[in-house]
Amino acid sequence: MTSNRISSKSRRRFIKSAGVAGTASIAGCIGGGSSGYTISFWELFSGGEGPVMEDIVQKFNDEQPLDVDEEVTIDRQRTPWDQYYNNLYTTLAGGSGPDLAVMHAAYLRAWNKTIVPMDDYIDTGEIEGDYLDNHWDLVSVEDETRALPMDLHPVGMYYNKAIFEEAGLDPESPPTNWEEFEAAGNAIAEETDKWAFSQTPYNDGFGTWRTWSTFVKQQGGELFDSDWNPTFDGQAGQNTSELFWDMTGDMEWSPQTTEADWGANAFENGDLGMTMNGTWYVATLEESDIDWGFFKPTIAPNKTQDQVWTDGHTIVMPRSQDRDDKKSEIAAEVAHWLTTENPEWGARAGHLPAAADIRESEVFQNASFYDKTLSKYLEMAEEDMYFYHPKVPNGDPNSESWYQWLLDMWGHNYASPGEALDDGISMVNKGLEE
Amino acid sequence: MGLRNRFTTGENERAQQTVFGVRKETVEGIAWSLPYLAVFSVFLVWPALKGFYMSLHNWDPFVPSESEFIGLENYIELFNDPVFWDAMKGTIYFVALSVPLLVLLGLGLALGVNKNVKGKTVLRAIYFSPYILTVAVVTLIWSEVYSEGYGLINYYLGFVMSDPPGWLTSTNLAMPALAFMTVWWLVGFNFVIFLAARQGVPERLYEAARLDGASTWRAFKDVTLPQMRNSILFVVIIQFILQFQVFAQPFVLTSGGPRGSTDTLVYYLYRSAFSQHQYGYGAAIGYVLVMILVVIALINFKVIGTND
Repeated sequence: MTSNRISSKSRRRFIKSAGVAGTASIAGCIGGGSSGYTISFWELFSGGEGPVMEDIVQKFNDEQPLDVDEEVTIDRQRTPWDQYYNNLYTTLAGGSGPDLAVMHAAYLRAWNKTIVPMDDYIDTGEIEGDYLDNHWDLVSVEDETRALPMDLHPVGMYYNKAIFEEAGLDPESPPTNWEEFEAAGNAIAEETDKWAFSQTPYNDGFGTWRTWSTFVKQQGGELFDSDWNPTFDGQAGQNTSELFWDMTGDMEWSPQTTEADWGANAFENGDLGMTMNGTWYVATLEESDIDWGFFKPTIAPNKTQDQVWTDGHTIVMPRSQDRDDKKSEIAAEVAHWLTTENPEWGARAGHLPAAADIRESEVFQNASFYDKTLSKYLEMAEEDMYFYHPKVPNGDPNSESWYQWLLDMWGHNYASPGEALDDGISMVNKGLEE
Repeated sequence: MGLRNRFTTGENERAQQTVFGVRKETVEGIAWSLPYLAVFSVFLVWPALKGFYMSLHNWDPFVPSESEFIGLENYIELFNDPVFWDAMKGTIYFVALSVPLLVLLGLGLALGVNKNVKGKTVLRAIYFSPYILTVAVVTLIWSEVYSEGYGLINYYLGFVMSDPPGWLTSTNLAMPALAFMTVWWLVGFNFVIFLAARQGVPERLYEAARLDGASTWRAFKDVTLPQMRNSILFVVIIQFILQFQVFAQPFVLTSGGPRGSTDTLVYYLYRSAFSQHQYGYGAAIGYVLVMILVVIALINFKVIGTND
C-alpha cells in the first residue's frame, strides 16, 4: 500500500516537474492536405479519465465516423491540469492554438477572446436538440454558442465502508443531514485511529472551494453579486469558515496539513473515513481495493436549500490564424461527435454526459457504479440542486491563487478564520482585475 | 631587424590596409563578432527592449497594437502591491539563506579536498554529482525526502518524536527547506570553481609565508583569499543572480505556500503574466529584478574587488 501512496504523489509531482523541464507537449496545427485532415485536440484529463479520453480518440481515428470524403485524424495532446490553462492561454495569445480544446464552462465568458463561436462553423440550431437544455444553456453566453457541452461534473461525498463499520456506524446508511454527518465524523474520530474527513482529496485551494462553496450555498449564502463583486464573506461564509477551522482544530477530523494530495493518499490507503470530490473520482476508486460508498453532500449545518457545486467540461474551437473554414467545419463536427457519441464518458469516467441520448443509453445505465454514484448525481440534477462554478468576466476562475487562502485556513496558517476570509476577498478581487 | 620589429612592422602594415575606406582590421573584427552579435541581439537585446516596452503598457496579448500606453503605472502599482513586497521579502530571505552557504560550503569543501586526503577523487565526484541533475529531478527527490506523512526525514524522526514537523507545510520551515535543498543541488558547481582556483595558487607563496612564520589562518587570509579573489567574486555574483531568480523550487514543491511563505519574485512574475494574464505587470516585475541584480553586482565588485 505504501508504494501506491508514494506513486500517487510522485506521479503528480512528476507531471508538474516535467512541465518545469520543458517537456510539456506543444501541439502543432497540421493543416489539411491531400491525405486528409489532422485535428489537434488539447485536453487536461488525468487519473481515471485520461485513459477513457484516449480510447475515445482512438475509436474516432479507427472508425472514421464523420460523413466526409477525407480521412480525419484527431491528434490528442494532454497537458497536466494545473498547467493546462496557463499553457493554453499563452499559446492562444500567440495565435497558434489547437483546433479544439477542452475548456471548463466557467471560462466561457472571461476567455471570450481566445475562442471562436461554434455557430460560425456548425448549424447549432440543428444540433441543439442533441443536448440536454441545461447543458446547452451552459455554453450559450451573450447570444453565442461558445462551445459544445460534454458533461457536468458535480461533487459528492465518498466514504469508506470499513471505517464506518469500525466506528460502529451502519455502512449502508450514510449521513443524510448535518446531525448524522457530524455524528459519523465524531464517531470515526473517537472510535477509530483513522481520520474522519478531508475537504478534498487533493488538499488544494480549488478543491477546498468546491466543498466550502457548497456549504455556503446550502446555508443561503451568495458567492458574487450581480456586478461580480465577491460576497462570500457574509454570514454563511463566516459560519462555514469557522466550521472548516474547527474540523482541523477542536473536532480533530483532519490534521492541520496543507500537504498536496494528503486526502487522496489517506483515503486510497484506508486511513480516511470521508472525503468530498467530483464525479471523476469513481474512475480512481474503482481501481482501488477499498470498499467505498457515496452519498449526496447536502449535509451542511443550518441548511436552508439543497445546493451542490458543479461545472461542466466543454469543447471549444480556439481562434487560429492558420485554420481555413473547411478545417474549422470539420473540427466542429469532431467536437459534436466527441460530445454526443461516447457513453463511456459517463460509464467509465463517471461524468453526467451532456447528450440526451447517452443518458438513456444501455452503456451508461449499465455502468458498474451507476447505482452507487451516477443515479444519485442524476437525482440531484432532476431536483435542480446544482449551482455552477461562476462564469466570471475576467481572470482564471480555476487558478489556485484565487483559493489558496482556503487551504491555508484549513491548515491554520492564519490567526483566525475571519482573517482568512478577508484575505480571500482581496485575492479573488485581484484575480478578477483585468 | 629583430624578430619583434619584424612582427610589429607586419601588424602595422596590415592595420593600415583598408577595405572600401575602412581599416581591414576593423572589418575583420566586425565580421568575427557578427554571428555572436546577431544571436545576442535576437535573443537578448530585442526581448529586453520588448519587455521594457510591454512594462509601459496595459498589454493586450491578442492585439498588441491596441495595448494601452500607461507609462510607469505598472511600476507605481508594483510598489503599492503587498504581494510584490511579500515576494521580495521571500526572495531576499531565500538568497540570505542559500548564497552564504553555497559560497562558504563550496569554499570549505574545495580547500578540504585540495589537501592530500584519502579518497579525494571519490569525494570530488560525490560533491559535484547533484549539480548534474535538473531542477525537476531535484524537486522530485526532495519531495519524497520532505514529505510530512511518509518522507525520509520524518520516517527517522518518527523514532524519536511523536509529531515530526511538516517541512514544506510549515510557514517557518518551508523556505529554509527549499534553501537547504538548493544548497545540496548547486554547491558542487562552486566547489569545482574554487578547487580549480585554489590549485592555481602557486605553492611558492605558501612556502614564503611559512618561512615568514605565518600561521595556517594567516596564510589563508593573506595568500589563499587574495589569490582566489576573482573566482570568489565570480561565484558570489553568479549565485546572487541565480538565487534571486529562484522559481522552480517553490513552483513545484510549495506553490508559493504555505500562506505565501515561499513566494518569490520570479514566481510572482510567472503568476502575474501567465495566470493573471497581466503581461505588462509581469514585465515590470522582471525589470525591477534586473535593477536589483545590477545593483548587487556593483556592490559585490566594490566590496570584493578584483585582481585586475
